[in-house]
Amino acid sequence: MNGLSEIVGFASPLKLEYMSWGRALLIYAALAAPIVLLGVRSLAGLGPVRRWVALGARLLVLLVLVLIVAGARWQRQNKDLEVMVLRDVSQSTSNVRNYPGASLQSSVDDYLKDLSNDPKKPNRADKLGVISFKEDALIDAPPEERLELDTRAIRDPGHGTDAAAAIQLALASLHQDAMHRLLLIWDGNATSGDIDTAINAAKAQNIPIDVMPLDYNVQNEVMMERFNAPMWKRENEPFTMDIMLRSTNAVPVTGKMTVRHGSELLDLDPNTPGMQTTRLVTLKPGLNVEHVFVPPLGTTGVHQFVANIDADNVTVDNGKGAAKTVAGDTLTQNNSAATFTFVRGKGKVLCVQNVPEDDAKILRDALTREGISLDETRTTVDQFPTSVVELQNYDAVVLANVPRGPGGLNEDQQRMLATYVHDMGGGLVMIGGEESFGAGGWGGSKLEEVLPVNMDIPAQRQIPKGALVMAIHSCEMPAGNYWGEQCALEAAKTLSSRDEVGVISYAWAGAGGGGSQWDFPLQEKGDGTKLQAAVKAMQLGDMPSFDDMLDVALHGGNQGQKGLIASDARQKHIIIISDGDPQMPAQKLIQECNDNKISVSTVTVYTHTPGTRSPQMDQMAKLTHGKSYGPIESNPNQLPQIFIKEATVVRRSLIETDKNGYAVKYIPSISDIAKGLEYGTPPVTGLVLTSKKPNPQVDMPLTAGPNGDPLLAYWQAGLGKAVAFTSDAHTDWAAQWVSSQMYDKFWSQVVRAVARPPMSNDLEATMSVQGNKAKIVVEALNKDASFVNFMNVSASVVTPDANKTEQVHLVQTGPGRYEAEIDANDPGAYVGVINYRGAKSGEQGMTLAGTVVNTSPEMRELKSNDALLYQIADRTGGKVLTEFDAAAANIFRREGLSPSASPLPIWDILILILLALFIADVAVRRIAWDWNSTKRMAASAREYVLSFTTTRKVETRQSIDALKRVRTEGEGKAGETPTLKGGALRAEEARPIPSAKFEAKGVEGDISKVVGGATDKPVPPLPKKIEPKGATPEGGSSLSSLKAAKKRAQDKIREQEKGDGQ
Amino acid sequence: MTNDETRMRGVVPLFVIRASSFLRYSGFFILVLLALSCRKAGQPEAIWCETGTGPDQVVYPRGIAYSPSDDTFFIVDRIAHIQHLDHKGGFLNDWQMPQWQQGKPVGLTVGPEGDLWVPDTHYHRVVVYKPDGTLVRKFGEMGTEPGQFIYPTDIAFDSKGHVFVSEYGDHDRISVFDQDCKYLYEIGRFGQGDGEFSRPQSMLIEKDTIYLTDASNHRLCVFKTDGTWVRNMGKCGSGPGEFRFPYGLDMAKDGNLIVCEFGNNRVQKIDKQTGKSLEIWGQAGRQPGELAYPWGVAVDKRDRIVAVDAGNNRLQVFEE
Repeated sequence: MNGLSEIVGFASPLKLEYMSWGRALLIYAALAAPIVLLGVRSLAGLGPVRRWVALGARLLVLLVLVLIVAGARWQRQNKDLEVMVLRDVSQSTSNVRNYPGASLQSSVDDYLKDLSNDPKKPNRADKLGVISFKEDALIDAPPEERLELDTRAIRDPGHGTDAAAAIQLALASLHQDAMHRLLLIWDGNATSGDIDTAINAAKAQNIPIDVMPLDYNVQNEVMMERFNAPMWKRENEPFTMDIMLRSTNAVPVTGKMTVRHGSELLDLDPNTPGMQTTRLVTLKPGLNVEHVFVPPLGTTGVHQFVANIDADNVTVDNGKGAAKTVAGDTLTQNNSAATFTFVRGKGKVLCVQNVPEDDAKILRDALTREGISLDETRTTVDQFPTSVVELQNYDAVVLANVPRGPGGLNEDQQRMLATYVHDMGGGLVMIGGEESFGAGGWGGSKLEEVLPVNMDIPAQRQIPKGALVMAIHSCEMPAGNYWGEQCALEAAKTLSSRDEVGVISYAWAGAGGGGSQWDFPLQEKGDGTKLQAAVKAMQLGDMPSFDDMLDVALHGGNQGQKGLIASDARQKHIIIISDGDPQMPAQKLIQECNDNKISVSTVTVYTHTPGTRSPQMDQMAKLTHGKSYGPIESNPNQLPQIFIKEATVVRRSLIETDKNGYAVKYIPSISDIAKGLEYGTPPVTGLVLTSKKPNPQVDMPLTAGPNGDPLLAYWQAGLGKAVAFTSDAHTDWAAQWVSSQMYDKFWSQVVRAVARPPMSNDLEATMSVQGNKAKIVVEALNKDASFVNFMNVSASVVTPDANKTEQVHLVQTGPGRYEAEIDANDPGAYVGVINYRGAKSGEQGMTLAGTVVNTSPEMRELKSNDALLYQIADRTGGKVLTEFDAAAANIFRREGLSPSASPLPIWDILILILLALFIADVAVRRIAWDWNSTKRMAASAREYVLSFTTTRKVETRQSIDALKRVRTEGEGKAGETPTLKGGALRAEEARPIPSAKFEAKGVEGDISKVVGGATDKPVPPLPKKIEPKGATPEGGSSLSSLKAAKKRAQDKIREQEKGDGQ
Repeated sequence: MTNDETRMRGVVPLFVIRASSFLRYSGFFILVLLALSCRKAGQPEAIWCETGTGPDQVVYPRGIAYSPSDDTFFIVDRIAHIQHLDHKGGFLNDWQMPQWQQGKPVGLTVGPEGDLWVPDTHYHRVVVYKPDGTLVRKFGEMGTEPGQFIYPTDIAFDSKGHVFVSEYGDHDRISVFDQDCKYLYEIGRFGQGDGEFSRPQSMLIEKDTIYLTDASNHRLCVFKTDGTWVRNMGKCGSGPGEFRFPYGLDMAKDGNLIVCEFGNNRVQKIDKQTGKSLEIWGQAGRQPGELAYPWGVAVDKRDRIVAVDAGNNRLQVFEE
């Protein structure tokens, strides 16, 4: 069967998609047999020829049907060539020095353009495309006959190289209807990806890879290879750090080394009086180690150190026996390294408050009086830590009236804080205020997930609602649709289910034509699923005018939608994101906004004039008492934060205040946080409405107001604990609390309840970088100094990307030793929280470990890997191209390529053939073919055609006939009719030979019954002659002469036929 | 032989029909085949260009101008790629604007000398090229003072050779320059009233009359070249004679206006005196004969209408 398939399949360009040829033929044979058998019987009434023609037509119909069902495809042979260039744009390419243009990348651009315009291109339809790669790969230019690089995305150099991803992307994006070749422009140093697998994939598809090496060899280099500090130290315990420096200079090189502790320079020679902040070091070729003494550290927490080396010039031989001076260090990117040490001791608390200093002091003093150690260097929002490592200094974090977004924590910080609580066991206390909880835009945030309350309130609570309309015109910024969606979705998350929300964008076509239209008409948000679906389906158009948009936002639409003016919301707000080039709205609409207390905030993105906001964006915001943001031309991550911040404008209704105060109700609780509260608490005069999380673990000891709104709630969030206090801790809403005896005790009790417990001393955890991996090693000893085995040890490692936490289980590799590895490709700090649980009761706890990946992996290799590039070319049948020599590249050569085949579906053609065959089948059975008529017609056609080719002869004959006729007429006797003679002659000549009629093929039975004509039967008598009135007597007219001639001719035929019959 | 058969024989000499059912079958299939092969009504005479960055390829084309002297067209797209096409849409030559990262031109005009005048919209200036792409001159800068521009959209010339440049973006107006591009005076201002406009997208000057697409007010405006307002035509809507963001403007051989509407995705022929719609081509869609975001329109000497079908990355040629 397979053999048959191969024979049939390979012999023709016709391929079957759904089954093999063998199976298709089997099916055909199985169905054809009954058709033939039945057909022979049912078509017996037809003659043999027609019967078999009919059967043949049916078999062809069946064949076409089988081909359609089997998915017949016509294999087109494609001889055009498509070359995809894979260009390295990673950081390591900065080492390349040998390029012809102003920069490496501009040189590569010029090289590619020259390749694309290659005059030796064998075929104008050959195409060139470009993929650029670093740690990821992107298509810069799809394959085109004329390369267009100006439309590519702007990319940063990144921290890695994944050439394998680029090859895989190229293989996936190449068109089927062409031959293919890849050109790899690379230095050969990969930091991730499986290049071997990618090469095999290209080889399997017969796609050769040419390579153009980006060659470099950094010879005069000094680099900070490693910076080691002890992971853990006790308070006031001095220690030594080791700095490993490598020099690739051929001769010793001197340099100046500095080490920073936080922001302060460290004294590198404590034995010499005064501060010696710089150490002069002499580095011999190869590895050098410098030791740095660290004096006793008085504060607990994480201490970060950064070392730096600045090498001097060196004098070397210039190759001609003379000396020359060159820089001893070529690259500056690898001259620094960082490390950190955890100092065990009394824990600290970070207390950040967004309130006036006098109010902030109230809480800080209360906690300090209760013996809680606060970080006095960080008290305001702008001082909030920006890295997870810094957060490890604290056992708990207190946020008072801190909003989300501009003026509060940014997205990275709030995610980091959520990770700190959930994955690293930190404590969190969120205290209310006018910019806190839902009113501060915390709805839908990661931090909300670790808090014991939700920012939304139960649907049954009747509070004034807000209405927010978002106008999205972000289509002209990079990834504009994505960011438009993100802004709308994130802003909507901060709204309650009862708040109204609407989304407008420009639609190019729709009811009433193109224009600004509702993607999501203004309505209550509900659970947000409809909004999400609508926003995801948004297709942003190029908005010509804000006038049109504002009109829709205020008045609804022509489909009867409600606008903001008709909304009964208390707060109404519009946010517009745009590049600012739509037309300014009419003054009338601006006035309507003001009349209806509708504010408009504008966010300018990727404006057409960099660095400026268009006047209309500013004016709209200014005239309607909104805010104007931007221009934002990089880091679009901040856009959702602005939308979140702006959305809080309509969430002011979540703040409940009553100067008479809301009574506070105690709900019995056994948790430590509620101790002493049973004796009663003063009322509060304001709070932010929230709802308790529907989780039995949430403890809510205090509620406030007649509706029992959460005032104090507490729970365990992952490894950490979190508290929400929805009133404030100051005199605005909790003046009676501040003046009460319980104030100090209450807040210290709250902070202690959530604070992270002291680190375990039973484990010795270390984390170190080995290649592209970070290795975690835990050694467990008990108090008797014996190994603790068979423990369950796991680690949550926060990577430099704050959004990413790696969970890993440590495997026991020896007595009391547990190990695990994680990827460490990105430079930055990796901090792991290690939790353990032993078999014995009480054998559990947590500890920290961390390490720093200093230089980018990109900058670790000082030499290009040419061997790998040669190997790639060799394995795939490509060749190694001379650097930047486009003329010699001959990239569009056909050598080593075979035409690709692309399957073309032909079902539509087959259906037409099927119809034609079907008609033919019916026709064969229903139509009797008159061959004689066909012959006559063919003969007539032939004569007609020949008449064109023998014009001269015919005309000559006609002319002679005409002359003869004239002469005959002149000589003729009176009464003799020339036509009689001529007519009789022509009738004689034209009379067909009767026997010829019986030579017709393909007609059955008595053909005369079908088509008439002469037979061997007697000629029927002539019809009775009817003489018209007044007709000329016979013999006296030309008509009678003709009739007489006809009769004579018929008599003659009869005589001839009789003769033939004898 | 029956009488029927005899009769049929005379009509169809090749066949003798034995049953009328065959006629029914074959008639049905012929109709099907005819239906499959027939072109839809309203289809364009031709479609030019396809998606791409090469010759005869466009990415969101936005401007078009017809050069009657040599019967050719110029087009510009979203990557500021200017292409010179012959009257069949065939590629002649091309070039790219020197700067375009901030934004691209939205219009093109062929001047009296046959040069190509480009309102370089997002660089707030006017750039003039020879048909072969040689730079001739450029003038203007960002600003609201006389001779400065915010977002220039189109250029037109009167019989004296004066240059009229329309602009929008906070300071909508038409600035008039002499033949040496020296500022003379300005016409109109931002607004919705008579003599005002909001985003004047395209202009056309016939004798001493300026016809203008007042895009954001969804109407056509008529001025005298001295700045006198004459009349407005049309209103916002989708009916005949109504407009949604009229963008492109040109004049047919019979003197009537050809207007393409960005919002209504169509081209209308408008009586220049009454504003009455005389004919409509296109509707929103992706098929031949349908339009998406039409930005510009040009009429050639054969009275063919070439519409810039920006959203579909092509030009469509309609015959009147």
